[in-house]
Amino acid sequence: MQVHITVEAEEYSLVEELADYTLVAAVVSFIVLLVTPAVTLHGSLSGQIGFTGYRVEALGSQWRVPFLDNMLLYTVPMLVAEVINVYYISFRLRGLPRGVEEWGSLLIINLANAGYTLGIYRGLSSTVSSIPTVFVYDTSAGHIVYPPGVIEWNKIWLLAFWIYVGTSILTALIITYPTARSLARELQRKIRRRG
Amino acid sequence: MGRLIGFPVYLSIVPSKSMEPTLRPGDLVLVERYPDNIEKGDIVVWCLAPLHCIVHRVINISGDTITTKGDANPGPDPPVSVDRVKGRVFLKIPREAWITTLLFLAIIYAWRRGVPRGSIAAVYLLIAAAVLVSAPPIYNPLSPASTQATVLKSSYITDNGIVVLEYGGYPPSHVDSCSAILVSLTTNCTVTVDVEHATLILGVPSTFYLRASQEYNRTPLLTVRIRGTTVGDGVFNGTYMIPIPADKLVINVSENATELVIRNPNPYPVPVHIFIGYAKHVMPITNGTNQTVSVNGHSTVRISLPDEPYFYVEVRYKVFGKPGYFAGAYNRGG
Repeated sequence: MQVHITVEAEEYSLVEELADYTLVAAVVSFIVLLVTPAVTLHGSLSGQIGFTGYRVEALGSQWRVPFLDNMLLYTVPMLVAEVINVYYISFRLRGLPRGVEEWGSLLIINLANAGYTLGIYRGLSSTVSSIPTVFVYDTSAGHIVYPPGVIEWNKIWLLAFWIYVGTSILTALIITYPTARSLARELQRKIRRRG
Repeated sequence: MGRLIGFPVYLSIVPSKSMEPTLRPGDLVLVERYPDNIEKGDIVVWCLAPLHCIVHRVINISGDTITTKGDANPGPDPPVSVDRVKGRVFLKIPREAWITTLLFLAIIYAWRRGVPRGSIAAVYLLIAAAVLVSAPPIYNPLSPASTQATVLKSSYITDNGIVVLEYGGYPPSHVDSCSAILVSLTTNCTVTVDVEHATLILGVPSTFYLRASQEYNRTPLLTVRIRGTTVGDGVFNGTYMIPIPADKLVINVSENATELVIRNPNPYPVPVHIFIGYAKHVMPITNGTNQTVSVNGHSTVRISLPDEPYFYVEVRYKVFGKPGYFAGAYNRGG
């Protein structure tokens, strides 16, 4: 019985370790999100769109995008989630134990954050898709055709989303694994008794 | 609260979009209570009821009444008495700044004082909900500032037949081809790009105008076609119809009747047929000479008249089908 418990603890700590690594990855990816532009524009368009600011220019005139004006505000929940993640990572560094409550919090936060990040991503992609890329003008000056604008997405956004999902899955495993294990043991015991 | 209890300065939150982009919903403003001298352009707070106040810009002051208008509103508010003005905005704190500051303070407080570990998720959810509720809608279609599309501001032919095209926005930065067309006549033109003044200067040969003026009998409209590139590698195709001046020649005989003076106000040469007849005695004219002279664009030709007591001058020409005629008999009194 003693041996059996030790094996269980090792299994548990492996998943926990993985969850911790994904937490660190989530924090790192958020920092990368902050400093890396999500969208880069080329051709007739130029500029970049990121969390900390944006610049969209078409044919030399700068465009204002109301949604992007508020981008920094939208990052606040993500920033809070990462601060909490760092807080929980610090538990391990300080050698403190984490119970079901902490893992439960992490699960809720990272699941919500994954959904939130996806929502922001979708909002951004809706906004970006409304940027015209074809510029043809018929004015008193004549018919002017500009080369099409090119919009390039940085995939780091989706990577961050999958990291949040991964963290959530691992956290869910940590929460459910001991419960499932004890349920299985209980079931085994009952079967043995009947047998 | 500060306003209700009479603080000299109080905080107020902007509730609507009427003052965008100066003030956005959720921005905090610091308001000076009962300001002394309100000026045009000030952003003031005036109240319909104790808890229903409006933060708008003053656009007109007339005696004891002021008129305000939200920067984003299409029209002004009804005029209100100056007494109803409760304050003047003197500082704006963007919503991003104050919300973020409050959140950080909350997190630091929770960190130091210790929030039950399990309930920290609730903090996150509350913050996310607060941001989603207070922030503007996620989907907001792009609203570009008016794109500076190139337009033709003016086109004209100068005195010496040069075609000038003045653009608004971006002129063609390089012109690959330029042609001037008049009905079935076509010629190439030389191009000088004046990027600084957004202008193209096209040189059209004067012989083209000359030929056109003699061959065609209709209102002259010069068609200019250019093809080139503009900023951002845009391909530019412009076709412009420019009226060609077709004025009558100014013809007269000098005061002492020694010269026939012909001035051409058009930017191209005009061939002129001149008959000068003369006689030693009273009319009729017994001798005369015929000649054809080309009067260059914007120039004057002087032709000496015979030193005879009696003479007759007749001038005929044609500009784009419009015939011109001048005739006169002169007696020097000999």
